[in-house]
Amino acid sequence: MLWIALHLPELPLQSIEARLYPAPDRSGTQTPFAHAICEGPDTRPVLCAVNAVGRALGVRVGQTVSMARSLVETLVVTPRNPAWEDEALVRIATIASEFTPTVSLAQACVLLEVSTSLTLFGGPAKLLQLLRVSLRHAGYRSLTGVAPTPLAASLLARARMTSPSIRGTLDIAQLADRLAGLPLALFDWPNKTLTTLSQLGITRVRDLAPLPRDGVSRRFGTQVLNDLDRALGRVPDPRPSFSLPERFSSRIEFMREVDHFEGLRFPIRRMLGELESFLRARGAGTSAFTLTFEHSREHRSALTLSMQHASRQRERWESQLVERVTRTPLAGSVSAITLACEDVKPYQAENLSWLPTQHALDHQVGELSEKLAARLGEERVFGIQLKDDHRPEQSWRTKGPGEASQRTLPAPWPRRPIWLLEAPRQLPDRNQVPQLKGELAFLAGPERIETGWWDGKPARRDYFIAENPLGETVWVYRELHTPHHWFLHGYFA
Amino acid sequence: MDKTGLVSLLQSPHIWRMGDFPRPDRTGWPTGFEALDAELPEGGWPKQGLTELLCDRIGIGEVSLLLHALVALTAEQRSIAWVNPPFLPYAPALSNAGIDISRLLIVRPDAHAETLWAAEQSLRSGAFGAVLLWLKQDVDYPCLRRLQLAAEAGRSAGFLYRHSMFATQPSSAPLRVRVDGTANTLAVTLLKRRGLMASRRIDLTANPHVVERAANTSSIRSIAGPRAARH
Repeated sequence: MLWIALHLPELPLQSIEARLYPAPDRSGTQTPFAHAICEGPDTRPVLCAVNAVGRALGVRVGQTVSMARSLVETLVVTPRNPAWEDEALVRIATIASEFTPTVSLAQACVLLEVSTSLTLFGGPAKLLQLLRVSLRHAGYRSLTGVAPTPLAASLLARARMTSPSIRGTLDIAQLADRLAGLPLALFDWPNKTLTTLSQLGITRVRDLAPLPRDGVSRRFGTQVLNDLDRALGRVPDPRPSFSLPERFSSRIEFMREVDHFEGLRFPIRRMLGELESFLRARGAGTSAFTLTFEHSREHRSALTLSMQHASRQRERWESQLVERVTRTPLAGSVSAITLACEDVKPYQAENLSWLPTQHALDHQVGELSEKLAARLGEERVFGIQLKDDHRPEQSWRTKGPGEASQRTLPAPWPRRPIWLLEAPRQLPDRNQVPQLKGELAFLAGPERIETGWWDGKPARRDYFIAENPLGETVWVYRELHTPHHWFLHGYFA
Repeated sequence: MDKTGLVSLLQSPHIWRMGDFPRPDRTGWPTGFEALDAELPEGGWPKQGLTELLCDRIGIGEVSLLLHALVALTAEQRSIAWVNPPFLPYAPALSNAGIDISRLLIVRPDAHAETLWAAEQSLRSGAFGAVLLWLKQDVDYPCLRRLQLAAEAGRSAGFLYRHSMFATQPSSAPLRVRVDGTANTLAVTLLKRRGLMASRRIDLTANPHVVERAANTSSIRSIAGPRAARH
C-alpha cells in the first residue's frame, strides 16, 4: 500500500476563487486584488484565508475583518462557503481519480492509494509531479505527504505547513523513524488531551511511543494509541472509497455582470476542463452538454453543444463553442454560468497513427462538419442519399453529416440532371414550346412519371431533356393535367 | 548571322524558349478528356491548390468536367465538400455517374462571408480530397490568395466556380479555366496554367467521354416535341 495525501489548507479561499469570478476587463485579463475569506459570528468575523496579494499588503489569517480593512481599504472579503468547499473536494477527488481508482475524502484532505498505479505513471516521483500539475491547472494548491498508511500520509502532509523539508517514505520499515519527529498537535485529538500531554512534556510522536500502553490508554482513552497504531500500520485503517457522481454539473458566478464573451472564455475553459477531467476519471465521453447563462432578472439562455461522437477534448468543445457564439451572440450580460452534462457515455479512444489513415480522415471530416454546423446552422451542412421513389424531388433526401447512409438499391436511373431546383420553376411557353432565354429544343423525352397519388403529393408529368439557344441543357416537365404548364426542374451541368 | 550561329545561340543556357519548360510529374486526376489532359500541366486536374473555373452559363456541362475526377476521389474513399452550390446536387445523377454519394458534404451558407469562411476551413483542414466552391459575388485578390494558401496548407484541391466576367481580374489560382460552349459543344480555354502560355480553345464535344451530353443518346427514341407528348 502506498498512500498520497493532498492536504488543502487554502481550500476556503481556493474553493471560492474557483466559483466566484471577478469580472475581467475586455481583454479577458484580471487585475490581481486583495481577497480574504472570513468566518465566525457576524458581529466579529475573523479572516480564515488570505490570498497572496493580501498577504503582501500585511493582511494575515486571524485578523478581524475590521482590522484588515483598516490595513487595506480595497480588501474584498467573502464569507466562507462550506458547500463550495465540499464541491471543491469532489473536484480534487475527481482529478485524483484519473490516477488511481482508490480515492478517499477526509477533512480538508484527499487520499489516494497509488501502489497499483506506479508502473503506469513511471514511479512515485513522476506520479506526484503529474498530480501536482493537474491540480495547479485546475487552480488548487496542496501539500502532499507520501507514506504506506493513510493516516501517516495525511500527518506528513499537514506537517509540511510548518516544516516544508519533511520527507515521506515508501517503506513501512522507515515509517516509525519518519514519524518520530512529528508534533502530536497534528492529530485530531481533543484539546484537553493535547494540553495534558504537552504539560507532561510529551509533544512529539517519539515521546509518546515508548510509554507503557496500558497507562496511556487509561489516562487518555483508546483513541490516542489507536491513532498511533493506525499511523504506524500496526492495525488496519480502512477508508471509505470515493465514488464519482453519475452526472456532471458545475457553476461559476461573477462578482459583477460580464457583457462580452471574451470575459467568459477563461471561466468556461475552466469548467470544460473540469468536465474533461470528470469524463476521464469515469472512462467516459459525452456527445452533448448544456451551458446555461444566467442574465439579470431571472432571465436565462441555454446553449447546447452536441457532437457526432462521444468526445472528451476540451479544445474541440471550445472551438465549437466559439463558432456558436460568433453566430448567435449572448442574450445579454451574464451573472452566472452553469455547465450541465447528463449524457455520459462509454468513450472509445481513437487510435492515432503516424500516417494519415482512412479512419483519421473520416474523423477529420466529422470534426470539420461539426464546426461548420456550429457556425452556419445544423440545417445548412448535410450529406445526401438516395431514396426509393420515382418522384424526382422525393428520390433523394438529406442526412446528417455523421449519419450512416441507408443502403438503397442503386436503381438504374434514366439520365438525370446534376442540379435539381428545390422548387420547380414555371416557364412561359409560346405555341406550347417552353421558353428559357430563348426557345427550348428537345433532345430526349418524354419520360412519364406518374406516381405518388397515395400520399397526397401526386406527380403526373412528362419530362424532357431540352436545350436553349445558349447551349444550356435543362430538364423540364409538362404537367399532364390542364393547363399543361411547363416547369424547369434541373440543369445538366 | 549564319545558321550555325543561330543554332549555337539557341543552345545557350541563357535562352529559354516557350514550350521548353519541364513538365511537372503528371500527377493530376485525369479529366476523362484526352485533349484536355494533354494541355493541363499536371496531366489532369491538380490534386492540390486552387483551380478557377469561369463560366457564365448553367447547364453546359460545367460540373461534368470534374465528374471523372470526383468518381476517382470517392473511389479512394476521400470526401468532397460542395460549398454554396447554386442548386441542389442531385443524388440520382451523381450516383449514376459512379460517385459514392455518401462521401459528399453539402454546405449551403446564407452569406457571402460565411461561404468564404466555410471554404477556407474545408480547404485548410485537409479532410476533403476536393472542395467545390461557387461564388456569385466578386471577391478581391487577397481573398483568392487566402483560399489558395488554405488549399496548399491542407494539401487539398479547390475548384472555384465564378462568372466569366471575372476572367480579366488578377487571381492567385495557378490554373484558370474558362468554360463555355455554344449549342452542342463544350469548350474550355486554359487562361492561366503553370509553366505554359494560355492555351487555345479546346473543344471537348468530339470526345466520347463527355459524360452528360453524349450519354444515353441511343435511348432517345424520338426528338419529341410537345405535340408528340400530348396524349
